[in-house]
Amino acid sequence: MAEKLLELSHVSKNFGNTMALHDVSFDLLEGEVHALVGENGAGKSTLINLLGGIHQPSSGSIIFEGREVRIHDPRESTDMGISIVHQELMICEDLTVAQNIFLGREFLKSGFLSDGQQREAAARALERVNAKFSPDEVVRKLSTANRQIVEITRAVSAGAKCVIFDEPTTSITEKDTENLYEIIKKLRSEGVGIIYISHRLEEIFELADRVTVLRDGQTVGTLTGDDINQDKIVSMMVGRQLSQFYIRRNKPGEKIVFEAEHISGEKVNDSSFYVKEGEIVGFSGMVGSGRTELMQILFGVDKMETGTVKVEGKQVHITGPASAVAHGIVYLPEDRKTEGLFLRMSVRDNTTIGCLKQFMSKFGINRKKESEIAAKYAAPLKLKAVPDQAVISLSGGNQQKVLMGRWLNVARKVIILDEPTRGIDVGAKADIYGILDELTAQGFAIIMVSSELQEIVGMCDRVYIMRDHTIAGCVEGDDITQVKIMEIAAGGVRK
Amino acid sequence: MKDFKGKFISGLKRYSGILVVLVVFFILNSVLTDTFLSTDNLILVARQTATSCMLGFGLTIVLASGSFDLSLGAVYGLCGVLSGLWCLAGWPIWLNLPVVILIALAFGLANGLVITKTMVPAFIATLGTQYIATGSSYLISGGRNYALMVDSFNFLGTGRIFGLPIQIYYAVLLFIVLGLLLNRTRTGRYIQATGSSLTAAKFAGINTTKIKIIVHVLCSALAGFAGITNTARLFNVSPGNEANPIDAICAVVIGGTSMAGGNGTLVGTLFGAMVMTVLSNGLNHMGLNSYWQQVIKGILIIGAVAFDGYKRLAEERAITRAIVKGEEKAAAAK
Repeated sequence: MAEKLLELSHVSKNFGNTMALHDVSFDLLEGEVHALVGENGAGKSTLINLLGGIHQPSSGSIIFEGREVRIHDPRESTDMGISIVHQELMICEDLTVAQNIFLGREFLKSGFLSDGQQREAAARALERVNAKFSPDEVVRKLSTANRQIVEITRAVSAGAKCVIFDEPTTSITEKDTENLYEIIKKLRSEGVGIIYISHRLEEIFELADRVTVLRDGQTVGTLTGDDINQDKIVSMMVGRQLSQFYIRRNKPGEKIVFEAEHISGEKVNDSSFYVKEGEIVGFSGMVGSGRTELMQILFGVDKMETGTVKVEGKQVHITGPASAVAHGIVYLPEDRKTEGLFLRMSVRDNTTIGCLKQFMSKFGINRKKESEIAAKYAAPLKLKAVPDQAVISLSGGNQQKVLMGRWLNVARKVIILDEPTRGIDVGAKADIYGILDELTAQGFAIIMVSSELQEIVGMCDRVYIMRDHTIAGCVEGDDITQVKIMEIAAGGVRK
Repeated sequence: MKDFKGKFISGLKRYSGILVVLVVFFILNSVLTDTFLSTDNLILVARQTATSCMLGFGLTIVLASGSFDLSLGAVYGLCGVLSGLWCLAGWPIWLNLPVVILIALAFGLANGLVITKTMVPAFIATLGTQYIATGSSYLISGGRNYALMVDSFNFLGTGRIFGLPIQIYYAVLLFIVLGLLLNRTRTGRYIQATGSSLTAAKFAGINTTKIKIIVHVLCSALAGFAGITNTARLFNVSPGNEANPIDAICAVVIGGTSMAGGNGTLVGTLFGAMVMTVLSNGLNHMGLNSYWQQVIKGILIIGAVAFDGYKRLAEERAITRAIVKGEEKAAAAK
């Protein structure tokens, strides 16, 4: 029987009047992967922050290796043997791999840094996780997946007995995910206890020995063995059944609303497709296969070298995002924080910035009308925010809803969504699927780029698969299965 | 040895842009004037470069940490005034220097504390202390100038050792000490980490507040000392003897230190200071008036930063391509 490494016993944490965690108990054994799931706001981050020394529990106790501990700051947590691989990687881009791995615990020789020694130690540590880059590489030059490996290496080389992974796969490719699994399994076999947090349930089935579900700051329950299945987890998380998740009530019409013919650009070759009225068309494929690039060409962000675009049968020239909007096309970018939202501005300002013209009067902005427009989509989107709230204070799901609200106000024919549900919780996902279904009823042509095969399969009428910067295939009807899509995306079957 | 050669070549590459500019100015000045290449003038250029470095090095470290300092020119002026007046009042140097530098430290500490403990951005905080320092030096001197002839004090600014102005020794000493600090100590590593990503540094257990205070204290102390040597050199105490902070910023930025933090380079600042000095010295010899010099400096700084940005963009594209290629290769191998 493995030893109990870490235990949270009846832990509560409140911020002012808000109860973030209420009487949560949780434990972790040596050499196990214990998954922690829950919607955003369920208390996962708070729990991690307690272990990482960012916050201290209001009541209850943390027991590490049989001793009750109080963790006051990140340093103490690391020294104790708890390391966190954060979702937003906590890494200094201008430093080298070795410097990052030993940041905060540099090798010293008579008071000065000893880079040679440090480099060797870093090389050994990197070898342990099968990393294929040099310790001298500047982190800026590494891919996201490799940066993550740097963080993992940092944790492991610090002698971590407990490693916490917070949404580790949100921004890495399928292949890198496989590699990550291997690293995690290796750590587990070496006796490291792992807390694994993810929105993607497949990952949890792949890795977890136990699963604990949090909801509204409380533990709903812990599952082991055969009990770990999708229906159980999802219903515990949201309190409703999975079958109600992907809803399509409307059939697409016959009229072709949007046509792209032979589109080429810097990273896109000769891609053609069409979307019908009330249809949801999915775009699948590996990260870097050209999906986002194609959409950005169509929205006028990147230059189109050749090709024609038709909206309702009429050829249109898109010279930039403004002209795309004028032709009835809107685009919700993949990276909502940098390309989409103005994080420090309010929900209202973020919503109405796309359509200020609609309520400009002679005397400037018509505040009343602006508020009306801002509120228009708040209810159907189930947006949990007040108009004056800064967007930065919202959860990922609500941020995405704000962005949707903005574009729905100006969308007339075509809506392009790039990774619309990335990094957002199950409840908000369901709301967004609901809205998409609603929009098909209104006759919009919807294009959805997504790396999440389940939602592609669940929501789309037709799916185009991209590979090597061009469209490699198209599936529809009963052919839309995860296996088929993956085959085409990986290059197994030709069109 | 091989390692050293490799470093030298990558160094040349990194500073290629600024070195080309430097060489071009140097040659132009040599050809277009017959006075530029005289020994006296070259020593003058070296001294002025050294003086700029005393301000520039401190600012480089501040920028490396992701902070900013506008107040250094005013602290330089205030410390010049204070040390001069106290010298006239008969204070011995061993008392005068430490007290004045302590005052400079206090300004740095104030900058650091305001920036880290309040929400005031570095730009505004140091704009504030700049006004405070400038105002103080006018208040203290009553806005008047005083002649200052005290041999032991004047030596700090006019002294020569082995025929070279004392400022060159200050700069070399600072270059070595700060170079070691920035590249060979934990504090230096933490300065760069803080500038590269404040959050990541915090999560690595680095006391970023302490780091920011250290860089500001250092920068102000260096500015204070530079101000003392300036007063000593001019034989004159005057509240008008401030240094222009923009010139220091120019030197640092032209040298390749990013305003966004994370990559301070003293070598770059040294080159940047040389470019600025050679440029204005040469233009003086050509008899071009100082207004034109300002216009040219303005063009130069925009050009330098634009070039830097262009280089970084190209680099980033190359990185993206390399990453994509690596992934394709890995996929093919599978």
